Amino acid sequence: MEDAHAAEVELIARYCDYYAQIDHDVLRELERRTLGADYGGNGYTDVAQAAHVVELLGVGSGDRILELGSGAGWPGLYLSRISGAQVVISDIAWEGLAWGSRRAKAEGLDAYAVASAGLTLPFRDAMFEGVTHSDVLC
Amino acid sequence: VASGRLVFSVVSVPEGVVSSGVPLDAYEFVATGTPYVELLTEAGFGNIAVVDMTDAYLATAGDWLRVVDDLEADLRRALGDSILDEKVASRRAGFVQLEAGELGRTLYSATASG
Repeated sequence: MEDAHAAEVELIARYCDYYAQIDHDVLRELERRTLGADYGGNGYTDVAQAAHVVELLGVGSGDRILELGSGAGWPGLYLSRISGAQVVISDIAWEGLAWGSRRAKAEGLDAYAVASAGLTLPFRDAMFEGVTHSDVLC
Repeated sequence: VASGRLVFSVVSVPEGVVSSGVPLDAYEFVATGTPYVELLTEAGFGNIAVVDMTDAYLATAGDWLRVVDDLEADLRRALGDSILDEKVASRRAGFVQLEAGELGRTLYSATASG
């Protein structure tokens, strides 16, 4: 148990180190050229696939989405942007969430950030119309 | 999700590649002995759809490595050698396995029975 806790703390620190760097223009360029957007994405979902996720979730204005393992908010913030749904981005690394919160505010998105591990989510049942995660299990 | 939709993508060792004689934690990437569709069904989800996104994954992974090569000097300045080298090594390893058909990416969607 202590080993698992230490491993989680190390993982959080590593991701926070990574997300502390994501304001660099070169990372924005890397994202735009590979995914088509620059929301601090760290996976393989591109903008076309994100649009498909919205279709599959079937969400729109008035709905609420939870993105697990969101990092800085890709694709969750983009899902909110194109669907009008409220999004809650959630991850263990607060540094990415802080960046995502600033980005959401700058874009006027209906978004909240919650720092939590996926196994201990602080939400009541039936709170979300859609839940998504992108390349978290890899 | 009590009555909503779940949509997620997973990078994993394809089900047909996972060998029953190999411990799951021996794989470098996520592997499961129980198919995801079965896991979702057991968890109470229905209306399950599966889309193989491996071809798009291969294209995006290749693009990422090429763009990183283009931007390497700036990326090293931004991230530092340690973070960049670790990330590139992981992505290159994944790309090799991807080209060999030993890794795939799948999109699942399902509805909670609520």
